[in-house]
Amino acid sequence: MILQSFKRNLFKGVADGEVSGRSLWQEAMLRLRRNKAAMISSGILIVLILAALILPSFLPYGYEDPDWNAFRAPPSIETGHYFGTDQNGRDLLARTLYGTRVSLLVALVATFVSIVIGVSYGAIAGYMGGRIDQAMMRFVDIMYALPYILFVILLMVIFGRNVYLLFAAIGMLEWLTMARIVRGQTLAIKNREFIEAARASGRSSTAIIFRHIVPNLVGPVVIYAALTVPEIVATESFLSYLGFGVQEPLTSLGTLIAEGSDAMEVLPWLLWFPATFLILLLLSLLFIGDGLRDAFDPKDR
Amino acid sequence: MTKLLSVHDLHVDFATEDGTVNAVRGINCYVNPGECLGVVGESGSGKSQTFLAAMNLLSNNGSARGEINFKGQNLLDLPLKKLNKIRGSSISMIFQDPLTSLTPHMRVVDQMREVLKFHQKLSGAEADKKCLEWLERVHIPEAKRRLRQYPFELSGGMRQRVMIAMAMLCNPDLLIADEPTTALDVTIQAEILDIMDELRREQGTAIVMITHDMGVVARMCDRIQVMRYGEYVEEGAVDDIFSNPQTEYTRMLLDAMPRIDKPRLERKQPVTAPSKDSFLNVDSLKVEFDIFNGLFARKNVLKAVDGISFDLAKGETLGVVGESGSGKSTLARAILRLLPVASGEVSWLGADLMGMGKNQMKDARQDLQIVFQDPMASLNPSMTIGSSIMEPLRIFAPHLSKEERRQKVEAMMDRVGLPKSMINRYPHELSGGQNQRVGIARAVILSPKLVICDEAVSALDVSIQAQIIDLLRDLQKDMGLSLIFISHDLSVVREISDRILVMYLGNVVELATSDALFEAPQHPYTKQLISAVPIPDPVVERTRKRLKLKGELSSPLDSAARLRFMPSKSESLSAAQKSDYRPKLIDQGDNHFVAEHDPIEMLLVDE
Repeated sequence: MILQSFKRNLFKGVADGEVSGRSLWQEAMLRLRRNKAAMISSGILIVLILAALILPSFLPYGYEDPDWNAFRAPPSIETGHYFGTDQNGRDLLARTLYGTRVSLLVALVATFVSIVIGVSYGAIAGYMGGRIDQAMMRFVDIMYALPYILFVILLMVIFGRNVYLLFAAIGMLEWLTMARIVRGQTLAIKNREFIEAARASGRSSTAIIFRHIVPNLVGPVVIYAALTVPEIVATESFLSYLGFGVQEPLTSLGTLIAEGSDAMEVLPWLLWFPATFLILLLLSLLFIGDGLRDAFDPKDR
Repeated sequence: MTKLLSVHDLHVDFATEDGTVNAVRGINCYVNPGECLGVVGESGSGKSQTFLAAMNLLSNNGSARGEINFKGQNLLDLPLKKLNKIRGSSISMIFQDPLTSLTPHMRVVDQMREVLKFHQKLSGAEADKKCLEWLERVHIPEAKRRLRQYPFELSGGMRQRVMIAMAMLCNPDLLIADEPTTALDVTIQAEILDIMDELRREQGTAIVMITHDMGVVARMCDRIQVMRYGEYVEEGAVDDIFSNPQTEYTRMLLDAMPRIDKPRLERKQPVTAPSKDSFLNVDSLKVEFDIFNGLFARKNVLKAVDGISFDLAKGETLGVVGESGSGKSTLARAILRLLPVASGEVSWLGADLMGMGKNQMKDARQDLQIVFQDPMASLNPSMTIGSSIMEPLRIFAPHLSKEERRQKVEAMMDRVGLPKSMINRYPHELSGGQNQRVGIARAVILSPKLVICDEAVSALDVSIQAQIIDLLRDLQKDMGLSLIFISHDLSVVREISDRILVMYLGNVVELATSDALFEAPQHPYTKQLISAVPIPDPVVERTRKRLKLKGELSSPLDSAARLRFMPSKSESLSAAQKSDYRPKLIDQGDNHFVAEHDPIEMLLVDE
């Protein structure tokens, strides 16, 4: 009540004349912009993404071509191998950038899959309620109960190692949590009066779910998605480390770290550079996720 | 006379992301020992913040400047340790929502003991004795048993009594009550106010009554301080302020306050007896909910609406009143088929509304609209108010072009008194009153035949409330709407309704024309309700007698509770018969229907 009345007083001055309003989304973005950690992280993330996309074409060495003059070369500016080379003479900078590209691609595709499936699944289960909800969520529980490594290994054994399969496998695991979160939020929203108002004005269930409920889920979904991306990058790295991930000569950050850790004592740069990239990537994504959470859920107001 | 508490030039500021908000700007006030000061003002007037500052309970982004003197100490300068000795012991506070102000996991006795232990170093049997004594003083039935209970086991009125008992444990000199009865039903409110008044007289505790309700002020207070936008408006003895307000604002507040004894507005030409040409006919409508306590517990049936029948004529306004739990909102939702109906019939323009298929029902919805209580919650926060108002057009007038729709929305906004420039704003940027106008615009944009207002003005300030009621009446006149106006506030209902239906635990206890109901109520429950409503006039208020009936509003799960007004019947029937028996509605002539009851003398609490 008090807050509301302050708001009222606040807006009294600007209520007249000004035509367009700020949506909750826009207000959250304004708040995000004031979060220094999130803004610096976004800067780092953008630099990393641009580097991964553009830089490889300007490098003298490809990620899969061995430099016959420089096997196991340490990082040096003169040779042009700024990050050094691996046992096969491949330029580590090119490989790290490629690895970043693959890791990010896996993360984005899998997050997208998890948002699409998770949001619609969760919103439908939550809104429909009753038996439908029960059946849908028990299926999610069963999927949860499967050890996902086993699941991935099974897929790999049956279909062979394949990057797309990896996308699918990770996406299929991640949507479960998204569905649960979305369902919970939907349950909270569906008893709000504006949903009743929509029902009273004759809206169909589909319209209510996708027009009235889903847009109000933006906050939690964005927050969770932002936290999912680093999780998937880590998962992919882990799977690749175990040898289930992308296949040579294509590479990912996880694969590079796995190879690097084997040669850690003799060729330490093989571990340090990809690991630094991974850490930078994860930290900036996590800070952005945290910033989003604070921006959408301003409890401190 | 030395003043107990005096506030000098108090400023309270809040740092928000949109800049500093000056909630209180230079307030001066004082409280004499043993008096009751009423602090009134609408939301945002800073009335609560002034006293929260005195208790150092401002939220983290708030800061206070000025001076608040209590017994020669400036509370604002006091270190927390010293302040803690004062709060809860010399000054205590009770809040609006009794559920959230008691710690949920602690028994009543533990919470009370804590206070005694900290302030008076009392513990053990001595402390328990004192707790029990105070619970009895606030008239809690079965006080001994209540001590062992958790807050969630108590009803709202009971919780507020516990709060008062806790606040009074250390015999404070000053009790600050922040809207103590706003969340309670009128009959409970009357009891709580009685208790507070009694304590003031017996203990000599001064009370600061922060409220928006002029009726409560008229009833309780000696002096009034009026505030607006954090500034002082006027101050004076209660009789002076009511009989001769000095400022425009106070006069407006008093005028806007609906009065149960005399309506504020000229009554519109009443719609005569419901004609038999069918508009809306509700026949023994029942809504039941299955309640499961625990995983394997037996199913309980909660009869929220238990066989209600009434007719509504075109252009008529039917007021529905009752306390919380009486099923009035459930009734509204059942008529609109937003809830499954257990049995009964609703006929709408001659057609059976309950039997309609999906498409038929969709068409019928065009004429049946609803306005909700919480203006903020009833609008989709992610949609601009323009698209919220446009929503019904999208469904029922898909042939209109975008431009035509926009024009219609703008015309509608103009009609309900919203500036057109607000079309692209979002609900959270508007005030409660403006949002409620949006809700009304959305409900009437299709020119419906019936609009159900479910507590549509209850969450609004009195001045806004009056504006919204005027708006509804205007719209009704222009469009020939029928209204079902649901509210717990009898004064508001009286203002707008042609006929009034009084509900008690899902049943009708009385149905009569507005004037007949208020001037000659028949049913004891109606009489009790009316007598409990405070009238914003101290002279009238002092001479009024409140009726006290035996028993409390009990749960609709308790089937015997329906016979509360027929103890004679209740004695003569067996348990099984009791749960089936419903007091019959008897036609008294002149469209006055009253449920069977024993004479009121049998029901009054012996004093």
